[in-house]
Amino acid sequence: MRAPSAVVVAAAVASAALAALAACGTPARSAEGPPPARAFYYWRTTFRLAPAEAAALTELGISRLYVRAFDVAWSAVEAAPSMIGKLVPAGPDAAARVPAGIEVVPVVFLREEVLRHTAQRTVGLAADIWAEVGRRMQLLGATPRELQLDCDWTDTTQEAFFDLARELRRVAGLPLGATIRLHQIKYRERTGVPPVERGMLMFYNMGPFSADPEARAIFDPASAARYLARVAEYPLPLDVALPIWSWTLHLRDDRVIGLLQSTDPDELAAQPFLVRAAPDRYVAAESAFLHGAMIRQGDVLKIEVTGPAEALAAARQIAPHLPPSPANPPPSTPANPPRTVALFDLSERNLARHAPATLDQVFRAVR
Amino acid sequence: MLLPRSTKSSARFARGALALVFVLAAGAGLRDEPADACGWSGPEIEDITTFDPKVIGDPTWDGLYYNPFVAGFGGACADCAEKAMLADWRGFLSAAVSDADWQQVLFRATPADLAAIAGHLAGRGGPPAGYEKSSLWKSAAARERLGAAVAYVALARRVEPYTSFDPYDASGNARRPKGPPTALLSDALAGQKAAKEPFLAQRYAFLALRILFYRRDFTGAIAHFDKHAKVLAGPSADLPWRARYYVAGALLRDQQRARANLELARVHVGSPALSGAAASDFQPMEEADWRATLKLAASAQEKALLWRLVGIKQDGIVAIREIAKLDPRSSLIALLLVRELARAESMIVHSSPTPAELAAQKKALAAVEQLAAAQASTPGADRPWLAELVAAHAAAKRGDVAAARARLGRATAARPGDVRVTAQARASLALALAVDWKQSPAAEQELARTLGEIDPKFARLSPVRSEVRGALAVAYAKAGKLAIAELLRPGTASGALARRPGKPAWEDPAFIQEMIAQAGRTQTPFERFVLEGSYDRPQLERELALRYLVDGDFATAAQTFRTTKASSGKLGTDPFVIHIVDCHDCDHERYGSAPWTHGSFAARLAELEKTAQGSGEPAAEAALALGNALYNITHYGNARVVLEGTHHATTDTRPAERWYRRAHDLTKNRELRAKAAYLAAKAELAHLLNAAGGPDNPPRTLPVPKTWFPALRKLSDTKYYREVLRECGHFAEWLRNRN
Repeated sequence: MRAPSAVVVAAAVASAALAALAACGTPARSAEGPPPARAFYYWRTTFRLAPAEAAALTELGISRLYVRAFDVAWSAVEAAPSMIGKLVPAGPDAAARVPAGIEVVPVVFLREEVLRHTAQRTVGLAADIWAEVGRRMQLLGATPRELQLDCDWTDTTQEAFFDLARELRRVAGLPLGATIRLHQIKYRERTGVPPVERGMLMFYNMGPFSADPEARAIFDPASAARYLARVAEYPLPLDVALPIWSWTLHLRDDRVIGLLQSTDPDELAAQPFLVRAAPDRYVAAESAFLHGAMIRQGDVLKIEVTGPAEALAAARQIAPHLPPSPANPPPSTPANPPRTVALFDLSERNLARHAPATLDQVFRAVR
Repeated sequence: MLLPRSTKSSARFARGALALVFVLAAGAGLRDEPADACGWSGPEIEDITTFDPKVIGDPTWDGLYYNPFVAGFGGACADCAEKAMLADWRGFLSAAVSDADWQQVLFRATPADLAAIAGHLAGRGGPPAGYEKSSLWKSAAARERLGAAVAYVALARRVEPYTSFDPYDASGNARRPKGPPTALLSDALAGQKAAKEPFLAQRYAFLALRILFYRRDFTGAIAHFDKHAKVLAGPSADLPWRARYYVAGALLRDQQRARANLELARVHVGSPALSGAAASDFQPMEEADWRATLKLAASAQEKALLWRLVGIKQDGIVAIREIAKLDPRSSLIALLLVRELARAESMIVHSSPTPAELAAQKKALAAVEQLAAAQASTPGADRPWLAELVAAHAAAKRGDVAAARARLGRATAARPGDVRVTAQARASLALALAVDWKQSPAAEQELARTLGEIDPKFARLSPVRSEVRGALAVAYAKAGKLAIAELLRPGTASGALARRPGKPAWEDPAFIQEMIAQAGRTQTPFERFVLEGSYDRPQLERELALRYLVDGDFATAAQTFRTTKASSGKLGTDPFVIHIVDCHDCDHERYGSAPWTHGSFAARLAELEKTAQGSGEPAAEAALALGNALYNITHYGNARVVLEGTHHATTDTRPAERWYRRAHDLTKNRELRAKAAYLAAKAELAHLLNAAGGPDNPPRTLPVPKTWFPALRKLSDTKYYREVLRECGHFAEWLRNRN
């Protein structure tokens, strides 16, 4: 592979940006584009919409649902990729089907370890993934028109991931999307740009888990600011995913030892073994189980809430940096649809914190 | 006729049917958790721990394989079910049929074959094609028993297509959408009732349990299990555990988590084949359900087993405390102590821990040491020597040599001849000595001897040596002996501990010379230990030569290559070639067979320098060549390979710019001057990029070389200028904006 030196790359980047400006004048800002498609991520292993979830889809005019189909992990026992956590509908009733009028985009979460093992075997893997996606979608009664890969690839696994993406595009014959982490935008010369039709910028997970009272891992405007400079020049059409979830960090001796994803911060006050030590902290007065985690006496639970204000702040922070959505997209070209704004993720718990009216504001903030 | 592919698929199916495949029946009840958002990879306990978990002496399990963060947790046994089943049938059929012929019936016979075999055994019709010479027919006395067995096999085959909740089988074929029909359940129950032999009654009862489970009649499955507990209990020793595993799955789905966890704990203890899977599925959720599980336990021993599973999966410290309350002499504590020690050791997975990380690890090790010490001093405690060994190791990690020695002495005295214990004791002592390092010949001698005496087969030898070297490196760095510190752990001399006056260590030839001198000291075992697996002399001599080169002392660099054994390899490129637009890989491709080596490159620079110091065109041309070479060895050029793998890799293009300036100022030739000006602009641009954040983090807008672009502009009448204008968009853009 040819690797031009850094000066040349930098020059090429800058030239491209300057050329674009010269050719097009001031880039059209978001307000001029069409309204984005509205979407949610559905990130559970069984598909069943609770009444509140189904209602939110209708009220908010959701047109797409990004549904996690399965994970591809590496099985050390079988020395082969393994598809785990396959999505299944929770029953034969309507709640276990995707409502009519909502397009399903299956998402395959690819663990990076797989790429380290399967660099030379992407052809078979792509075919297997696509076959499994087909089966999962059939169970939901959905016909996908796009497929999304979610993978935190790095410079060392870039080639394997890109090969797999190319192959998957070939076997699926559908437009392919990929989630794009902020670091992949900032360091794109190193991590590369995936060979896909669209990127879904994950505008969250901005820092490492930390016991530091000030640290926020889901969304932190100051951390986000460090990544924004190069968003506009990213050479793929970009959709954006925004956070609406909250979680609880499990700390011991000022270290994060676990993440209680199933524990909503609002539940903690009702736990008899927890004592509130600060607005965002609880200390375990005795050892006890909580939603499957053993909390040891003295452990601290730190909550990180993404409320309506944070979700809106995230939307407003990223909006001006997104390249403009195509002004007049041909209505029936799936390869070039308007931008999608997706919220992560659809759940009763998150909807309890975010009323439809506040989510509507979040959607409206990005064009 | 079946296609070959279908036949294979059918054979696999049949094998699955009868082998009662290793189904995670209970695990399937744990769905609808939020899916993982990301994976984590990094060093595991296996890579880090300096304590050998195999000292426990358990032939099946050890501390590491219980690691729930490793795939295959608990040691999944892919063929255990099949082996157990074949052994069961062998016992039941004794010598009535050969193993091969029975396996043919079990795994490969088609439904039509099975029907014909049953008929022939009952005296109806002939044997099916291919079975004429089977040993099935040889014993008239066994015909009735064989006929009953074949009838069971036929029913099991009919059940198998329904035995998964996954709508697709492993081959991707759609399964039948609904659970097994009532008729199959009736047949299984009837078979159980009619069975004359306990062996077949047990198997029919198990089959009925599976049918109920896959019909999603979980309450019915639990009731069936409880009602037919005696039938299910034997004679097969394997089947009762599989039945219990199914019932645990049914209990989970029936919202009876408390009992489900108890049953899973029983399976974990009783069935080596299912132990890992049961441990994986065992999951107390809330305190109330866990308290209920403990209440259901039949004895204090069973409560202790439940706590051990909590310790294995979640929190060994809490579990040890609870088990000790139930029975301070429990044999279930030892494994948890070893695991918690390994867990504490693996809390730090990188070489530069923060104070907070170190403090957390210290606390974790203190907790383990306290529990192990208590265990060691409990009268009648299980394996007190192991507790001594664990406590000694924790003491060693905090550098308490006296406590470690005392406990290690007691452990080895209790286990004379135990090579694992002896090796571990030596390893722990070496760590203690290193953490509490006293620089003296006696200490050096003791450490080198202790390390040298560790059994080479000791599984943790590599992490132990690495940790000892790391601890010593810190001690020597703090004492200002940076060369030894760097040899012990490369990188120390560039780290936070390396406080020295003047230049950073690797930028100072005196430091590298000191390293070379230390690399020549090999008299004592300790000196040799310092050098093991570290820098060698030719490598250090190359470091020295390249240091001189980067500092601009080309003559000394060339002399060092010439007069020492400094390693010098082919560069695979021409370091003097330059372009308007660089292409690192193109040059490597094109000049891959160029003869340049590190040594000849340095020699050429020395020659060029002499010429460049002169005057006129030859000096200008030599200066330009020097500029090219010094640009190319930076990160931006085509010959960064020169400095790769050394401590001198650089992005600094200022030395190149200085030589280009000399070429520009010396020459009267406008073409050469234009070239020098443009190449100086490239060097200036690289320097500006360095200042803006480095090559990996280029700014959005490319900076303008304010010295050399204007200088080049003055040479617009040259051919070279026009070439630049054509090839370099950045210059063209600058020019356009200027005009």
